[in-house]
Order: sequence, then structure tokens, then C-alpha cells
Amino acid sequence: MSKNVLEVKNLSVSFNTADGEVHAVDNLSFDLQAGEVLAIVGESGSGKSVTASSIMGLLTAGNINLRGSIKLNEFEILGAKESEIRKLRGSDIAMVFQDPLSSLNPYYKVGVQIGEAYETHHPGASKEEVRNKVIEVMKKVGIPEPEKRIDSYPHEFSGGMRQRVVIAIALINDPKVLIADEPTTALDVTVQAQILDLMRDLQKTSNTSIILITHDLGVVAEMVDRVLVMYAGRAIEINEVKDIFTSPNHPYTKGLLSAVRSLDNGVREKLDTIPGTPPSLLNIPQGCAFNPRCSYQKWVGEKCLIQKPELISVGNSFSACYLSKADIDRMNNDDKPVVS
Amino acid sequence: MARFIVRRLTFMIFLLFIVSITAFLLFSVLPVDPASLSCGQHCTPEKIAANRIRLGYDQPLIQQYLTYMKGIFAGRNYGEGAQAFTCPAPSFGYSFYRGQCVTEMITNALPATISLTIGAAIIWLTMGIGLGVISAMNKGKFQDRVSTGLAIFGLSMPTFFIGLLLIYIFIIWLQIFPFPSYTPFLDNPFKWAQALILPWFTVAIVSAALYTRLTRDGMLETMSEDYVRLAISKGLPRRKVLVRYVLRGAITPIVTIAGLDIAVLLGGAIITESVFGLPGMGRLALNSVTDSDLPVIAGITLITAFIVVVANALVDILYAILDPRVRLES
Repeated sequence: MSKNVLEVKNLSVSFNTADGEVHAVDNLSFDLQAGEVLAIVGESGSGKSVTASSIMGLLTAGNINLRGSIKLNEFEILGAKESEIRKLRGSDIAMVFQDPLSSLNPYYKVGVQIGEAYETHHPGASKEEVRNKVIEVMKKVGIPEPEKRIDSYPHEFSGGMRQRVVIAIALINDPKVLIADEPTTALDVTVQAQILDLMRDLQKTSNTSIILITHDLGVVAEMVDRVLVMYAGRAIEINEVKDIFTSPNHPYTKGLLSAVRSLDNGVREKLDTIPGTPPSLLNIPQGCAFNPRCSYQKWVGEKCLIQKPELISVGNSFSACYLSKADIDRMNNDDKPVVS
Repeated sequence: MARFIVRRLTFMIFLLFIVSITAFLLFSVLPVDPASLSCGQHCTPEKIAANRIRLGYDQPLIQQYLTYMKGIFAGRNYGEGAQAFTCPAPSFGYSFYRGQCVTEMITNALPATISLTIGAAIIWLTMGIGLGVISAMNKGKFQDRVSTGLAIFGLSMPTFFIGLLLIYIFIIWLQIFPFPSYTPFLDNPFKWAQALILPWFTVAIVSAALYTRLTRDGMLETMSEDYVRLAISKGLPRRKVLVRYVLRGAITPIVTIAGLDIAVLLGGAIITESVFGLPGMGRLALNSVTDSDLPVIAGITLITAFIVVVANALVDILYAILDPRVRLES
């Protein structure tokens, strides 16, 4: 059994707004093992990015309520002093953001911005040492001619190269956990593949654990070990990647998978969609948050409308759904309740 | 960068040329006749006609313009024989009302205005940006409300009112300062500062408000930038993020507006100078308008235009230094 580097337990995040309390994350628990790649998948507003920000300790505004526990190597992040979290940020735990075009400060050379991440955590480092370290990490992330490019400004780089710079910033201190928040969404398809390859290679050589936040199931299939599916702030399924594509446990996961075009059958069929829209976080439906959009609710009945299903273990995976094992199998055989 | 500067300077000269023509044309259509103004008490039509010839107003407009422009570069001679005199280059004409070369009058007025502007700018930038930073860092809290409130108070008070208020409080009521009488800096720096401190604050209180707003809004906008989030997630200390990332991102528009504000102020702070009796460009302009002293008004117009255009060019160059992206585009 590998060791958990990150343990999230009963994490709840809510924002006080003028319209009321918004529950962005609700009672979320998961763990991340050393060297593991975990994907967090879900639609916009499902709480993926808020979860990432909580782990980074970035949610400090006065109108945010945080409950539960986030432990990084046994260190409790929630409620820790800002100065203590700061020591972890960029060293033990690093983050790559979605848009490389806006992630870099336009006013400073990339070498300075990469070096800063090292200097902050190595206060005694000489200029020479920082520079060598920067060139080394730039080489590692595949930026050509690092000795020259170290003095370039971000706008002199392409989108893909900028994302490599951002990854270099994240990796310069060999973090134990890397959170990548949709790292390829803003990039061209060909560049996406390069960046994913790079991340996979780096992950293999350094044994860094990665949390990959994405809504791209293609990316998930390519480089992930386990998948956490979120809906309206809750975890609704946690499953091995090899199982999730063939036998998902939750109707929502099933819906997400059906909404992906498959090239295998070669038939020009209409793309399946999940009917309806994700609920407003101000007004989450009673019972299972997914029930108004769920095609399989009929098999369960009233229960879905009344009581929130807890995340329970189904075989070696977890699901928050009242469907029985038999019904899950029926669902995966494309059996659907009759629409009356 | 060098090419950028050269191009900017060429454009600047072209702009000044246009301003000079416009100003000259405007003054030539005014119903004020300098020849009769400078005629004195016992005026006759003959005297006016002679005056007109002496001053060159009988010449065609284009000739007058060329003479005027030549004067700026080569100086200009007036009158003949024993009455002849010269206004050395750069000559902006001669005030017959005051009996002085315009250039001399302007150079006499400039030090007071420059002193006022520089001092006031230092105070309003410190005050404005300082309050803006405090506001932005405490958005929505008590400190934010107080700074924003102060800024709006400053913005909504007329200059003359603040000036008179300060005179009343500090000179008449508390008697901290004597009534200001301008002393050149080189004569007595202490008295210089003593005379200027209230005018400085008068200008600063009015101007700071805009900078508080600009700094506050600029910083709040920058704070939500991805690169600031990345800076925080690098583990940089809060102060470093604030100065190197947030303030750095907000400062560029402030530099632009400060440059132009300072330039306009150098053309004369008419109200402040009048309230405090400072012998600067503003008071000179006001007096010249009251006296219909056209050559002086024309001179001040050109000098002010020159200062604004130069400041504009400097701001552009500074902008290119501050923002590496601008450098590339040029």
C-alpha cells in the first residue's frame, strides 16, 4: 500500500454572497497516493477549481467558510498560519493554471519569474546557483536554448512555450504534489499533446503526484490512474481509470462518457447530451443533486428526491448513487427506463 | 528603442508646428488691436498707424507668422534708431503693455510654477498612491471607506475653497505660517518651502483623489490576474507579490496620467497661484488676459503647448521602458 501524500477529509467550502451562502464544495473526501495521477472531472461550477485553491491555501478572503481537513504529508493546511502555508506553496505543492497567456507577469523576464520560485524557498542561494537551476529546469521542460531564452519576456514565447515556463516554475523545487488546473484547455490540440506528454514524462521520472483538473475525458484516459467525478460540489464517483470508461457506477459519469464522440463505430450518430443544466449552487436540489437530470431515477424511486446519497464503496470504487449493482450493470448495458 | 524615440520626437515637432499656426491664427482674428493698446494716453489715429508699422502688424499674416517664428530661433529687433531694442532668442514677442520681452516675463514666472508643480506632484503622488494601496489592500473595510471618502472629499472641493480653508486654518487661526511671500529657492530654501507648503497641499488635495481611485481600481484589477495567483502559489511573501506584481501592474496608467497632469500644471495653476499670490505662469496668464496683452498670451500658449507635447513624448518613452510589450510593437 503506497503512502498518501494528500488526504482531504469532509472538506466543505462555502462563500457568503449578497444572494446567500453558495456551497461550492460539500463534504468532499479523497486521498492522493505518492506518484499517483488523479483526475478531478466535472462541469463548470462543480467545485474542481475551488478544491484546488483550498489545497493551495489560496482561499483566504473573509467571506469564505472552510470546514474539514486537508493534510499534506500529515500537515494540516486548513487553519494553518499563512507563513507556514507559504513555505509549502511552490515547494511541496505547486500549481499550473489554465491559461499560460495570462499566468506570467508581462513585466518580467521568464528567467526572473522561474528563479523567484527557487529563491523564495532557498533564501541563501547565490545568483549563479539560481541561474543554473533555472536553466536546468528550462531544459527539463523542453524549452530550447534555455541560456538565451532565460532573458526573454513572456510575450516573446508561444502559448505552448509559456505553459512550459509555468510548468518549470511549478517543478523547480521538485514538489510532492502538482495541481494542474486544466493545463491544456487554452492550447492548440497539437500543443496539448506535447504538454501532456511532458507532464507524463516528468511525473514518471520525479514520482510527483499530480491532481489533474479537467473536463477533457480524452486527457483522462491518456495519463490518469484514478478519476474523481464531481457534481454540484460533491464527489459522486471515485474510480480506477480502467474501470470508469467501461463500467461507470454513477449515471452522471455514464452521461459524461456518452457525451464524448467515439471514433470506433464510424457511424455519424447524434452526440448524446445530459438533459438540463448543472444546478445553481445557491439552489441545489433536495436529495441527490443530479436527480432532475437523471434518466435512471425511476429505478430507484422517491429516495433520490429526499435524501442525499453518501459516497459508498462499490467493489473497489466509490459511488454516491442509490442504484443497485444489478441496476448499474443494466445501465452499462445501455438499458434505459421507459419514458412514460 | 532608438528608432521609437526618433519617431516620437519628429511627431512632436510636427505637432508643435500645428499648435503655433493655430495659436497665431486665433490671435489674429481677435477684435483686439495691439497697435492701439500700446499707443498710450494721448492717442491719435496717426500714432496708431505708425505703431502698427513699428510692430509689424501692417504686414501680411504669413509674413507676421514667419517673423514671429524667426524670432523664436534668432531673436527679434524692435524699433529704430535710439529707441531700438532686442528681444534675444528665443523671443516670443514683446509686451508693449508691460514694456518687457515676453520671454523674460515667462522666465521670471517659471521658477515659482515649477516649484509649485514639483512639490505638489510629490505630495499628491505619495498621498494618492498611498491611500490607493491602503484602499485596495483593505477592500470593503473601514480603511477603504476612509481613503475613498477622503479622496471624494478632495475631488469635490473647489481649489479656491481648499486654498482659502488652508489659509484660514494655518495662517489666520493656528498662525503656524506667516502669510506666504514667494522667495526663490536659491535665496532661502527654508522660506521657499514655507511659502509653498500650503499651495502644494492645495493642489495635491485636489489632484490626489484621482490617483487614489486609479491605484485602488488598478490594483484590485491586477489582483484578480492569473499571474498574481501564480505568484502567490510560488510561495512569494505577500509584500513581494503586492509590490512586484500588483502595484507594478497598476502603475503604468498612473505614470501616463501623472505626466500629463504635471505638464498641464507647469502651464500655470491659475487659481492656486492667485489665491496664494504666487508670481507664476498662472498669474501671468490671468493678468495678461485681463490686460488683453496678446503677445504674452500667445507666448504662454506656445510654451504650455510645448511643455504638454514634450511631456507626452516623455510619457510615451517612459511607457515603453515600463512595459516590455510596447517596446516590441515599436
